[in-house]
Amino acid sequence: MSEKPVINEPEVSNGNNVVVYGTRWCAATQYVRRFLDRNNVEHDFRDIDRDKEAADQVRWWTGGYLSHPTVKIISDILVEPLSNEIQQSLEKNNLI
Amino acid sequence: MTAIPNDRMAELSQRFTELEPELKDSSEKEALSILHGMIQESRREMLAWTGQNYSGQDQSFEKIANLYKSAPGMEGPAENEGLPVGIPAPDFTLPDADGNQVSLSDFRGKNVVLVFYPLDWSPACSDQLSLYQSELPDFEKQDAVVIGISVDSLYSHGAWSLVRGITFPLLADFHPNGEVSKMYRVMRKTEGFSERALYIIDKGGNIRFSHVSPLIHHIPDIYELFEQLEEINQ
Repeated sequence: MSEKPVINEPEVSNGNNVVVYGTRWCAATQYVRRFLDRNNVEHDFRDIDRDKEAADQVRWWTGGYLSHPTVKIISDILVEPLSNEIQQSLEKNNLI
Repeated sequence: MTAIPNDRMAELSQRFTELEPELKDSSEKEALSILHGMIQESRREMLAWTGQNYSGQDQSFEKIANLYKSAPGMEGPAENEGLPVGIPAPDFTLPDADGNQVSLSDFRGKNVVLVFYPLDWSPACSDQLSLYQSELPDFEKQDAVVIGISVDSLYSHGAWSLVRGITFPLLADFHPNGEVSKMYRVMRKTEGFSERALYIIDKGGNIRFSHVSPLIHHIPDIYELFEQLEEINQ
């Protein structure tokens, strides 16, 4: 399993309503991505180790912390959310 | 009419998000960012207090479950490279949390995901094993069992697996300290616990995949782990 160096490489966004900002090595980020997969919720993943714009966006939302995962669901910003918080937001936004 | 406040909040939130690239770094930008962070946390606390977010678990139990979030961090580069792929996996026998003697050879005929992790209760380990717990149905689809190993005692494993809801075996490499971790070349001699390392052992007992996290708090990519299992099953 490769771990890539830190570079500024904005990832292509597919324009999904749900975006996970995190790292590939963070278990909580992986948990959220897999949770969304299991619930058939299409989402983009922004790797904040490789994508400076994504990292700046997270800092903007969180008061300067590079908190991961941070999940954007429509307009809800969820910082290091529990799975029930994601569930609530997905239900509120009619995504599941 | 009830949708209006939500629409308004959504619009405000979107506008806030879009402003980030337009503002140069400054104390004012930082202050606005902190305020936004405070609003998010206040909302979260409010949801918890109103019971919308209440898990129903005993609060002291939940505090113990969340201890890892405020525990001292664990970081540092790997000291070992682990065993290579292509060789027979060394057999071993260790006790699980119930005191049963468990051998690697008990699982012959199944793929085994052998997870060496530093310590129970530590920050990254808590999330890693919970991740694997949530993936157990997918591991089963790959005809794979997950086994965790650390140098903790079986009593620690028992309490920790109960608190975290872990149902796969956690084996105690406690005495002689780290003997199996040493056998698999993942023992961190300076700290007395193992690297964060993964082995996939195939149905015939051979090591097919070996990975030691280059930094101890880094968790292997679960997507790549499942790709490896799929390849082994082909």
